[in-house]
Amino acid sequence: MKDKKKGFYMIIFFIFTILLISIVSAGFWDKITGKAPQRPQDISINVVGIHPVVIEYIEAISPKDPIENSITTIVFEVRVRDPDGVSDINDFSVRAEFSKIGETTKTNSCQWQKDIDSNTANYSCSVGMQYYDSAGTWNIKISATDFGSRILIEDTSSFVYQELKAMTLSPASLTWPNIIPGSINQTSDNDPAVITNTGNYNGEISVKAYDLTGETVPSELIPSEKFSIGGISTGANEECNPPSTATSMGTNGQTTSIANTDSNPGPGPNNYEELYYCIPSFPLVSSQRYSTSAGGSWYVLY
Amino acid sequence: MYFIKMKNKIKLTFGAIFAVLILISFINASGIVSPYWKDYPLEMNFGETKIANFVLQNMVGDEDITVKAELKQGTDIASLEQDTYTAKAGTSDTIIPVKITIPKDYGKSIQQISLEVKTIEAEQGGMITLGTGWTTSFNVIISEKPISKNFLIGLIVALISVTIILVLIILIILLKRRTK
Repeated sequence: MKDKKKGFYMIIFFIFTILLISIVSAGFWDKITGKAPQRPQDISINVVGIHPVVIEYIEAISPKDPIENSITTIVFEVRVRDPDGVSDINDFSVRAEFSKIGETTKTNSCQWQKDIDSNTANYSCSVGMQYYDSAGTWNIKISATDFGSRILIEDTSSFVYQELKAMTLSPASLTWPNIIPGSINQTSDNDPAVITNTGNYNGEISVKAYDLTGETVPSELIPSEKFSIGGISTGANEECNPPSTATSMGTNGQTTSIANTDSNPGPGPNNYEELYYCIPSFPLVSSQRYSTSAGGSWYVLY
Repeated sequence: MYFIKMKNKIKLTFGAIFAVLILISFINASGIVSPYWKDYPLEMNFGETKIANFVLQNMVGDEDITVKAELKQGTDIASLEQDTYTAKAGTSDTIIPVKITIPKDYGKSIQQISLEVKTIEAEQGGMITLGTGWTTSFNVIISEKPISKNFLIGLIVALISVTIILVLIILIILLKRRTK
């Protein structure tokens, strides 16, 4: 009887032990105690620093020439240092910005070139300047940040973008129909002269005019001051009406600013000005062909 | 909406065609870069010489251009090496050097320099042949040469040395008098 009881208790103990093991292995104990389950795991840690970057050097840019009707790419070097090591510098954060009052700001990211030492990296920055970007001092702003502090650091410099006076002009020469001496408001039959600005000059247009000489009798002239030039023509002979809507030309060899004209720097396609030519009161000269062949070409000047 | 878009498209197309036509039919396509201009003067000292390099560009056309350069103002301090320059088609590096020399006894503190550059045109057969040109004017601001840091240091050292020597001489004289 005693052996039977002993066997019964042993079976009960055995079952209880098995149940206890299964409860513990199922994390039931952890749930009761609040202890997290432990499992082996692969871990990778990015060590980042607390110090912000320092823009150590911005290469000085000498005065730059605009290139006629195209883009001038300005390339310069920048060095960024991080006391926490070059791996803490965010290479993609290094940016260059060119700005000037009244002009569109230009930005571009700088490219990592090499690590100079364990804390300093070298970057190449390039920004494209258009031929019509205005002349003067442009501000440069370099910005960079790192992975640790994430503080955006900026530094500034400047450079001079020079003045480019450039143009295209069409047509090559101006013609008039046959004119009766003493007639009025004789306009050119192949104007306007179209002046396209291929540089960054911003201002008035001038014309240097010379007397027209008789090709048969060179002693006879049509003086340059008999001509007028205007920037508009709607068919009502505005170019023949100085000084209200046109400008009278100066004497032989004199340069005259044409009122109400503008060089209209780009971008295109509106970067041009038109000039209309007129002889408001044709002088009483003999019948022959008159031209600039002896006296010299007229010049459109910026 | 569709018609407005079409209208804008037509406008843009005509604008582009017009611009292309202008570029095709131009007679001159050139320019000049100025190192100094109205808002960017040149600063110089009395007795100093500098060379201002103007750069002739001929980037748009496919023909070489020849220009005539002439100083219109400031000839008392500025001079040109030659008066004609040729820029080959597709180039942007023809230098027109203007030599500027400020005499030590020059009487002005500001002098304007004006350079006129004109293309030399072949006769085109019309009544008026047209050419292009550029007038570049800038101020030369003349000032006394600032005293250099090295010169200042030298002057201070010399003054201190002279003072020490003077003090020593006085001390020696005083000592000699006492010993007598």
